[in-house]
Amino acid sequence: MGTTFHFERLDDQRIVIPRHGAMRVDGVIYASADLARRALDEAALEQVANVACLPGIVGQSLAMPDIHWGYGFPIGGVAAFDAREGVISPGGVGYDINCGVRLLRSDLTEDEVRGRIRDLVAALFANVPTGVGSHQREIRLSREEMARVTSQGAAWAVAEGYGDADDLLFLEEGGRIRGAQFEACSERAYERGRDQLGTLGSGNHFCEVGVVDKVYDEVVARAFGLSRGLVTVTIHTGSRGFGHQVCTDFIPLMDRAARAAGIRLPDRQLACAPIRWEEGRRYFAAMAAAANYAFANRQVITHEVRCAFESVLGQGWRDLGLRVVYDVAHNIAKFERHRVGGREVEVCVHRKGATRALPAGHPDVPVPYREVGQPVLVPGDMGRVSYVLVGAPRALDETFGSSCHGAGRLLSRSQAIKKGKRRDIRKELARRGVSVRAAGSETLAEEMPDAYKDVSDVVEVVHAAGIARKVVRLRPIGVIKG
Amino acid sequence: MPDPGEVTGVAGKVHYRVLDHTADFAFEARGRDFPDLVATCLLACSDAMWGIETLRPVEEVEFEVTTTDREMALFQALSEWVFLVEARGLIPAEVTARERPGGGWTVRACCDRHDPDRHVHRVALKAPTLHRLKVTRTRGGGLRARVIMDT
Repeated sequence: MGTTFHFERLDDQRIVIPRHGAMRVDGVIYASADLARRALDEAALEQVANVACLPGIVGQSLAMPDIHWGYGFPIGGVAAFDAREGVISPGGVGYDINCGVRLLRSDLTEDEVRGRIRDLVAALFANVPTGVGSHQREIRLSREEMARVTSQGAAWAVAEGYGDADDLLFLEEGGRIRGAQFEACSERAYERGRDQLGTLGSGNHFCEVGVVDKVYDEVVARAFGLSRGLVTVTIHTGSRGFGHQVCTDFIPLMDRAARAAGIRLPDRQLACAPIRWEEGRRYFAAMAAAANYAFANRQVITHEVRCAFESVLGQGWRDLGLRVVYDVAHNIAKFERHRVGGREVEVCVHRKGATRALPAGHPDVPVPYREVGQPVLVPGDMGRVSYVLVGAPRALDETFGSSCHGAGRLLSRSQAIKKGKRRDIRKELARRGVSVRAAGSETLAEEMPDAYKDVSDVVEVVHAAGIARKVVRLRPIGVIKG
Repeated sequence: MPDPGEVTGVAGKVHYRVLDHTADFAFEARGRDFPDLVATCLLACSDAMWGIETLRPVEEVEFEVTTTDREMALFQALSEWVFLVEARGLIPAEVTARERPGGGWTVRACCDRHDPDRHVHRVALKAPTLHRLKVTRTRGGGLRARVIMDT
């Protein structure tokens, strides 16, 4: 590992940064020896230690194996704060509030879509607005509608005809986080969000047609409606400009609140407020509003995806079996109950680039999946594979019910572009059987497979650690990028 | 996107150094004084995202930065840049800033209106961060800022 940061190996899957200096708890990073040597950087480790300094943190400052350098929290960071004595931090959620992943499954087989994949990708690209500042021509929300979107989340979209009431059964929190207040969001947030609902955006956001190419757990896969050879669709996006503006608005407020509370911040991006303070409550209300906007966004995109399949394949989406498997947030703060030090307490769990992973029997797992556990959606890069995992019991013991969220970047965007010079990434992907359309001129190079860790390495760690288990592997065949 | 370490921009318009960052866009900019530094940082963002040579100053916008905390002032100015670009479709092509009597700064930006036929984005800058944001004095008596933008 290319770092001088002091750490010790706890077991095959974990390393620990022992509590020192202003750290209130240990830092624990899930990483195999190989992953640690190849992919851990000093800045990310320092961020794990910085988070451990925040008031009211309980358990440990955690990071998943897809950890990389972010700002404030590392990407892949998980931390829980006592709901009465702790803090809440926009830097622990990130700018793209409720950035998350939704998986759809279908009754279609690869053979049935292989000959139409270019048409499907073209239809997706036409139906789902992508790229910088992309906006929806058909949806422009008034303030009153925006208030309803941010309060009702995905249910607003379903009520407007974007999908089916059954979809809501398969979303984290039913697609609506309680406690949202549109009034806590600024006029600027409204302006940025009013015409972006149903859009993918740019950066690493994507919509991907895939195929189940390996099944690890037949029973759980069957419960999720997945079997070898079936076609799936993965949607990765969040709260767009609305969430970014909420975070931008609150950072200066939280910076002032942290000073007023006498909190010494090792990184100013960790600006935070005591959860019980007005600033803390207001941030949570605005964050929940943005989270609900993101749930509605993925619901509208689900409708756009279904329309694309219908137009290309000439059958209704219900006939195609194109239904929601699950939808998870991976940039979020939520109030949850967990066992800490032998007793159950209410904590505010921050997951920044980390996914909730609840095991079988947990009351927050949707009823149809309760006997097997919550689906954990872990997309990889656009040239290799993605995974569907299921939450496992040790997640509740060790990680506040959390697991990894993706592959994690290995190269910076400029390094990736440099590596992609004189290469035709589109053709390379086509040779791997992946048809791609992208809105940005440099997006394909920035997002090429080499820019990411191999998600299989990441998944092996959480699987071996017993916080989430492998269910199926997905192979991409068509991708649209922002 | 410019390479890390490369001093980039257009002669007479903007110079900045791109710094390596795994997931986001980081750069270092310099200014004779704080208003000049603010102007350079905003133009660096316009250049990184769109290429400053593609921009025509056609519409003027003025905004106030009210805090006297330099890092937070820069954060506020960069937040305004993001808002102008994303919500208003205005891309700052020329920027000047001046100190306000009583504290804070006034920033004037001559902007191009976003035109998808002329403007092809190179990197999407979505928000400024306070992470490692630092304004320091240079040996020559000017100011230097390190900025990380969320992408």
